[in-house]
Amino acid sequence: MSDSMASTKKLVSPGDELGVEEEYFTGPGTYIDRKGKIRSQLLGKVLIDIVNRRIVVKHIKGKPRIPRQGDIVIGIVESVSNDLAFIDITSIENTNVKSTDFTGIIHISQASKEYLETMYDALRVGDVIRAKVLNNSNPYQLTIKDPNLGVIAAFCTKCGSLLKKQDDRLICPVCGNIEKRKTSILYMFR
Amino acid sequence: MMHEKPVLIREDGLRHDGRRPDELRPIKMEVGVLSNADGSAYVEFGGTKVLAAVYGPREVHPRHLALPDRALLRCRYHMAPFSTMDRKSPAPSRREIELSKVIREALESLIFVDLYPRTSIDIFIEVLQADGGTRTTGLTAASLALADAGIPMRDLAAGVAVGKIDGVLVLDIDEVEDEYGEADMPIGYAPSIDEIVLLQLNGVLSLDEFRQALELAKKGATMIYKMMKETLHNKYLRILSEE
Repeated sequence: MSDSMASTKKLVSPGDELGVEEEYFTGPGTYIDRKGKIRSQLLGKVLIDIVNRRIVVKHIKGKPRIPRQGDIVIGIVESVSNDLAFIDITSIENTNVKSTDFTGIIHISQASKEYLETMYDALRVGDVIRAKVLNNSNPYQLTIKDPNLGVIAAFCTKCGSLLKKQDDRLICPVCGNIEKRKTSILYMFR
Repeated sequence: MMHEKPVLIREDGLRHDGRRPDELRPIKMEVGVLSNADGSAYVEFGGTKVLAAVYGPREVHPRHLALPDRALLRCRYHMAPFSTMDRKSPAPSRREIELSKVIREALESLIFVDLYPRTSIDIFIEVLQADGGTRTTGLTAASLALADAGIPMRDLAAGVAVGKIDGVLVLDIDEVEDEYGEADMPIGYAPSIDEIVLLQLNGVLSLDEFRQALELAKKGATMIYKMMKETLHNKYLRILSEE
């Protein structure tokens, strides 16, 4: 959205008339009905870009909140195979959404900047990860290549206790097991 | 239980509950009543009390039901066991399955389902107390809940029933009028775009009566539609003024 987008104080509900087809280009939250009138799709605020003659309606509470390209999401690894990992996306960062219910997929090429023999060297089932969304459709493609993305909490594959990060390694404080992951610099336990 | 037919139209031309033929029952509406749902609404048409909740767009379970080009719309209309005089079995009856279908189809014509492929939008309509016109109250509550959930829609739908009792066309019939009347015609109407999204007719109406009934229903639905908009605006005006 450009800077010339002016917000109006007007609250509209679905079906409210916003203008006629010739006045604006229609953006998200608006549509053109059979008689050529621009109407609102949502309950929300009207935003008008006077320079580009574009009209948009934004929902009053930002709903529905589903993952979008570029969003940072938190998820739990559901299953891992040699080249793929399936993630249950549990929340979207910087939103007050409590839970989402979508599946994300990480391909091995998106797991690390370095060469990986197998996905098991980057993620294991049960790990909590921070990832970035790459596309706009379900199933969502995710990446954990960046240093601030990756595992933020992991569990020992031998005894199940929480792993601690020491230098660049994950060590189990109970059984001393050393594990390999693609950890984020935001790993929560040290 | 067959009772004596009560007086439906009194001598002064008013109905058994004192309403004029073209008068609605007292209506109460509230949105955002449930915190766990993405959108919710509570609507009362006189003695009929309905709660609606909307979830979605969310991932479809079971997965094989997902549609590649649009959202799957699922609707469950259900009457609580305590909603009627005699206990209603909580299992979905033939009638409830049919009403779920007609309400779903009414809303499907209004929702932009193609914006959210491979997801589902789930609507739950729970009748807490039934006193006639539950499907129209349910439809009204469901469209309020959808607007609350931010589901893109072409318009809000308002539901209202028109009946014929003792030869008189009346608006928003209740249980007694439905049981002893000659006809019952529930209508779902989207006033802004002037579209009828739900129309059923139980009983007999002449063509002329049908036309009159339709006009009466549109009038009633437009009144309800205004109240729906007011309810939504009142709820969210505070958020807007805080910015």
